[in-house]
Amino acid sequence: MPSIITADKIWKAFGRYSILEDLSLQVEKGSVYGLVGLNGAGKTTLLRLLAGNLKANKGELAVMGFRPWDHREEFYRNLGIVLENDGFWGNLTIRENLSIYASAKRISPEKTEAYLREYWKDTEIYSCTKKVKYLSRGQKMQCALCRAFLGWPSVFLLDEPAVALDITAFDHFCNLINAARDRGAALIISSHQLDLIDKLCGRVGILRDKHLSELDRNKKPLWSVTSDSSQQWKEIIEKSGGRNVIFDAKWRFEIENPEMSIPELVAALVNAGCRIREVRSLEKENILGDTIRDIYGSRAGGEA
Amino acid sequence: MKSVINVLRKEWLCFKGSDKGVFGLYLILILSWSLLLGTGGQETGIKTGPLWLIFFSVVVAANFSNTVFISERVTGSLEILITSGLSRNSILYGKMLFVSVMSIVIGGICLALGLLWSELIFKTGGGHADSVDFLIYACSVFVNVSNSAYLSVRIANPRLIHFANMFILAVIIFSYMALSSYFPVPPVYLILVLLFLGTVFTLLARREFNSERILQPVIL
Repeated sequence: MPSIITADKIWKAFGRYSILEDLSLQVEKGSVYGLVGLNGAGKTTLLRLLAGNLKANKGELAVMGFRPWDHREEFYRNLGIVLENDGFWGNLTIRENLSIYASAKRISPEKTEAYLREYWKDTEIYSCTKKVKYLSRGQKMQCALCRAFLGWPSVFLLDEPAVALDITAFDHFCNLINAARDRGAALIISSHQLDLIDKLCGRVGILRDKHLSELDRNKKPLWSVTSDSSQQWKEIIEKSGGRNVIFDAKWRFEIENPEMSIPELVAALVNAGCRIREVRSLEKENILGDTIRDIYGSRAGGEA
Repeated sequence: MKSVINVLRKEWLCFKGSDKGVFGLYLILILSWSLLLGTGGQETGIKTGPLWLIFFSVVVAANFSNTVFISERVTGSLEILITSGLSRNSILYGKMLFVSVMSIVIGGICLALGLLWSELIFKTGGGHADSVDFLIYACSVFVNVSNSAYLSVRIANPRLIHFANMFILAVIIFSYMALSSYFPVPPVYLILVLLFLGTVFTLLARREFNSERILQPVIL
């Protein structure tokens, strides 16, 4: 699939404070990309750059073939967005809010109504006539999602899109994401909800120290060994059959036939003088959460 | 043009949806100001006219500007509006047009009521302000609106915008009055100065609306 979102070595600073450095990213059509990172890591800044609300200091950005900062109408008509603030006009009802948004996007009232009927009829917001300012946080988030998916754009930039959603609304949100992906849209979801990222995203980018490193979900490390970071241990792990060996607070690797290989590997490491603190099998389902939590944990520990 | 009308419609809907108290406040403002204009200075001893109208324009236009330019930045709805496909210029012009129209309509109502009160209540034989004054009022609304649009991004502190508007218009009107005391200065010069300033602030606001600063946090 061709890339629909491309960032090439972008830099962003606010005054003297650098937020993103040398960041590159590619997201293909029909894919969901997860963006995680500590508070202040630059996730929202990256989304704002991709939405054309901020201008990169250096590097090239292309979304749907447009440079976001050019602010082309065609670009925005194909962009669905959820930002950290819900951005509703509180004095208006959800329908009035949607009507203004649809009109700006040149989506006809008939199409808007058809969209609402097809995808939101079973939800409480379909028949809601309250002003938005009287809605709960979760209801507002549902409304924000409803607005973002209106017109089925080609690119979605979703900043914490599942905050405050109840179980039903969350399931509905997942269905919408899958429907958008099936329609060939590219989605970037930034969230601290690792379960959500784990469930929905094919690829995951971790923003830390101003850089984006990518976690390839198709090459999941299956085992971890907690010890120091000496290169000698990497060689031993590889000799014992470990593949894709990485060190990120602990050694992580894939290994064939662990029942046979792990005892041999542990013996080899101990014999070589490695002080092992833990050997763990990582459940596939939790690997993203474990990896990110470990990275967060090591960073927080380092800072302390 | 269609985008400007879209913004205008949005602003009108938001205003229409305001709490009833807001309309009550405008009613009080209109009544008190029209009574002041209706006296023609005879009841209160305060001379009304262009100066009052200009300061009234600060009250009305800056009040609308606060809602239209600042509160949208606070709630984040401006960012949504920008990402909806409306050009930043049409958002600026739509908002400016809305505030200008509303301020001029309210000023017009004040003047008309002022005339009515002067005939019915104060028997002063017509309000003090005339059509030239109203034109000056409309031009000072233009200065207020454009300056508010510019400063709402540049200063990002709504309290200071009122002071800035008041200060700028005070400097203009007092300069005009000071000059008038030495030799006759036709009001057309005052109108031209106001129009020139309004145009300069509009161009500055346009530049700000197309910059990153428009989406920076507002200090309340």
